[in-house]
Amino acid sequence: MTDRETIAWLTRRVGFGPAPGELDELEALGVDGALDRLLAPAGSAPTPDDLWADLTLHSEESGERRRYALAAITRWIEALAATATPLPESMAWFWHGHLVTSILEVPYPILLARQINLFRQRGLGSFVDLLAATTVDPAMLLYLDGAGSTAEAPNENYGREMLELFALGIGNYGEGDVQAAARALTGYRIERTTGEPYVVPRAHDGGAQTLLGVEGVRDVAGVVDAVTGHGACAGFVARSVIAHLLGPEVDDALTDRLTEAFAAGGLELAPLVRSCLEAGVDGAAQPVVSGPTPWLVGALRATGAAVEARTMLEGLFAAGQLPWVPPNVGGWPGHTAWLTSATTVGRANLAGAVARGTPEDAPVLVAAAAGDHDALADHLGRPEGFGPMTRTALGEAARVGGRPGDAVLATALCAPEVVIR
Amino acid sequence: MTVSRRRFLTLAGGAAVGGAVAGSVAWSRLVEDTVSSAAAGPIHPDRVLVVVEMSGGNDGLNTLVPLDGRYRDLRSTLAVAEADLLALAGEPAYALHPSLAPLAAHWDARQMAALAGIGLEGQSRSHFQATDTWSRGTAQRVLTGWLGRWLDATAEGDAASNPLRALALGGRSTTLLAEQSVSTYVRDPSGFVIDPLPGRDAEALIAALLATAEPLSSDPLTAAVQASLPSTVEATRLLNEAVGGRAGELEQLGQGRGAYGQASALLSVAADVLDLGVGTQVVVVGITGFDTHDGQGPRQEALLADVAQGVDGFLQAMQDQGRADRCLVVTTSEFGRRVVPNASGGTDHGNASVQFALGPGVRGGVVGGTDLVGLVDGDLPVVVDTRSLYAVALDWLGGPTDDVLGGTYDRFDLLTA
Repeated sequence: MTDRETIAWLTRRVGFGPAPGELDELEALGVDGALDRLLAPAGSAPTPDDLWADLTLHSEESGERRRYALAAITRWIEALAATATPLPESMAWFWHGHLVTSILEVPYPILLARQINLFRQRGLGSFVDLLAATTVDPAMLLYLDGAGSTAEAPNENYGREMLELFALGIGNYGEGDVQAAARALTGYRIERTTGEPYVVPRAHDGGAQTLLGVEGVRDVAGVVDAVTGHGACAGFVARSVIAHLLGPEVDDALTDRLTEAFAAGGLELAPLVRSCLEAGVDGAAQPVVSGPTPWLVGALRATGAAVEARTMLEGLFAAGQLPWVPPNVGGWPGHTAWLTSATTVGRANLAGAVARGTPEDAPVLVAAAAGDHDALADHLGRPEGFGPMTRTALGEAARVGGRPGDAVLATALCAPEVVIR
Repeated sequence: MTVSRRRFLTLAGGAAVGGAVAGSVAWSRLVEDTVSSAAAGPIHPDRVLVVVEMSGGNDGLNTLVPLDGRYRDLRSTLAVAEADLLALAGEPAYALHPSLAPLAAHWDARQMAALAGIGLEGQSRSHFQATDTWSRGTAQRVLTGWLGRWLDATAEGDAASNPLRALALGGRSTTLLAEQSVSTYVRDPSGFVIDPLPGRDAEALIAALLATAEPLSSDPLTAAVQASLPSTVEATRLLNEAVGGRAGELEQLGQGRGAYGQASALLSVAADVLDLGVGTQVVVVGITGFDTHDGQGPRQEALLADVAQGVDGFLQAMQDQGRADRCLVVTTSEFGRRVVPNASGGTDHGNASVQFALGPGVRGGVVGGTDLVGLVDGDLPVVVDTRSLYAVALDWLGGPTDDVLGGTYDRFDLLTA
C-alpha cells in the first residue's frame, strides 16, 4: 500500500473517510504523523459540547415528538459528516451500536440526544466510567426498564442485556447474576421536569447481592465494579472495538495481545483504539462492508452534498439503518448483513440524492463529469482507484442524461470499492 | 397485476448471475456439519408458507389463556380479565386473548391450531441465542436458517434464481439465510424502488449499476457486494407493482410502540405479492415490540390485535384470489415470558410459549399444553419442540422435512392432507 492508501484507510476507520483536501494535508505529515493527527482529538472533547442544545424535555404530542426526533437524527448525521474531530464522533456512533437505545421506546428525543452527547464526551475514556454513566443514563433507564424497577419485583431487562451484550457476553454469567444485578439497580426514577435520574430509597433493594462471585454488591458502583472486574469484560469490549476498527475476524493472537493491554491499562479506551489503528497500518485490517449510515456520512463528507432531510431519513430507513432506531437491543448486525436487497435499494437511492445534492464546483463532481476515474476514486477516499468492472460501469453511467457527473458519481458511490470500507 | 409469467422468466434469468447473495452471508464459508439434502423437487410448488415472526418474545400465557385457577393467582394484576376472554368452541381448557377475536372464525372452522408449551430445551433467556436457535432450527452449528436450507434443498430450474421465491418483509429474518438461494428482503415496502436520479433515464442508470457486477470478482467479499445488485434489481421491478403507493413506515415513527412495522400492513403487501403470481413460496413477515418488560397489558393488546387482523385479512385475501387452499400461516417468537409479572406491569424473559398454525389445510385444536404446575425456574416447561411446528410447515411445502431439520419431529397430525 502507498502511504496515501494507508492514510485513506485510517480516515475511513478513525472516522467516515476524508473531507475534500484532507488526504493531501495528512499525506504531507506521513503515515505516523497522520495517525497522530487523527488521534489527537482523543481525550479532548468534541465541539460543540451539545449538538442538540435547543431541544427541550417536553415536546408533547407524538407528531411533535416525531418531528423533533427526525430533526435531531438529521442533525447528528450532518454533524458526523462535517466534523473536525472524527474520532470522538465516530466512537459515539460506535457506542450507539454497542450500548444500544432506541427512540421508539424513549418518548423524549432530548434524552437520547443527551446519551449521544455522553458517548461523544466519554467514548474514548475508561469503559468503567462509560458503563457506570450509561447504566443510569435516563434514555437507557427508559429503554431497558431500569426506571420503575423496584425491590419488590425487580425488572431484569437492563441487568441481563448489560451482562450479555454490553460487558461480558453469553456464557460468562448465570441467571443468579442477572437477578443480583437487577436487584442492586432497583429504585431509579426519572425526574419529570429535568429528565434527570434519581433513586427512591424505599424502592431500592439495599441488600447485599453476590454478583459474579463478588459479595456485598448494593448499587450501581458495586455492579459496575463487579462486571468490569470480571475476567471476560476486557476481551468482550476489546473484540467489539477491534471489529469496529479492524474487521470481524482479526486473528486470535492480535486480539489476545490487544485484550491483555486493554485489561492491564484499566479498560482505558484511547490506548486500545491507538493500538488497533497501529495494527491496521501494519496490515492487520480486513475489508468490512459499510453500514448505510457510515457509508452515507462518508459520501456527504467527501462530496459536501446537501441532501433534504426527509430523503436522507427515508433512504436510511429503507436501507435498514436509521440512527436512533436500531432493530433491537443488540444493535445492527454488521458486515455481510448489509448485502440484502433492502440495503441495496436504499443505498442506490441515497447515492443519487448525494450526487444531486453535490455542488457544481465540488472536485468530486468535476472529476466525475470529466470521466477522470482515478481522481474520482481519490476524492471518495479510495486512492487505489477503481477496478475494471466499476470503470466499465462508470463509462456507461456517463451516457445517462442530466447534469454531467451526477450518474457517474451515483454509480461510483454504489461500487464495491466504495461500499467496502 | 400485470407481470406476465413470460416477463418474469426473462427477468429471473437476468438475476441468475446474482447467485447466492441477496439474502446475505450465503457466499461465506459455512459450516460444520451442514445438513446434506438430496435435491428433491417440491411436491407442492403452488403452496405458500407465511411465517409471522414476533420478535421480542411474545407472552404466550396471555395469548392462549389456560382456564385454571392457578393462572389468575400467578399472573395477578396482569391476568386477562375473565369476562374479556374469548371462549373456544370445543375447547374447555383454554380461551383466547380478546385481541385475537378476528381469528375466532378460523378456530370455529377448525382451521386454526395452537401449539401450547412450544419452545426449545436448553435455552438461556437471551433474545439473541434464542432467535439464533429458532432461526437455525437445528442443534447443529450452521449459518443457514431452516427455511434457507429448504430453499437450497428444493431449488431447481426457474426457482433457483427467482429472487422472489422467498421474501422477508419488515424485519430482517435469519430464517432465510441459505447457502445458494437468493431471497429478497424489503424493509419498507413503500420505498422498494430503485430510482436514484428521478427524472433521468432510470433504465440506463440501472444498467450502469448492473455493470459493476459483471464479471464477478475472484475476491469473495467483492463478489458478494457485486452480486447483491442484479437480484435486487429484478426483485424491485417485480415488486414495485405490488407495493407502490403505500404510506411510508417513517410516518409511524414516534406513534408509540406497536404502531411501527405493522403486521397487518406487511401481510397485505404479502397478499399483493402472491397475487402477482411470480413463484413466491415463502413469505416471512418480521414484526417487533413483543419484549414487554413494562406496561404489557395495552402493548400486547395492540400487538395481538395487529397480528390477528393481519392474518385474518391475509387469509381472506387469499380466498378472494382463489388461493385459500394453498396457504399456511404460522407464527413464531423466540421465547415466552416469565409466569410471574415484574414491578413494571410487564414480564421478563421466559421459555415455553404458544404458537399458531392457520389455514384450510390445518387440523384445528390445541396440541401440547400450558403446564402451570411443573414450572422450571419460574418458566413454563417445554412440551412441544419448536421443530414440530417447522416440520408441519415443511411438510406443507412438500419437504424434505427431516433432512432440513436434521431429525424427525412429531407433527401432531396437524395437517389434514
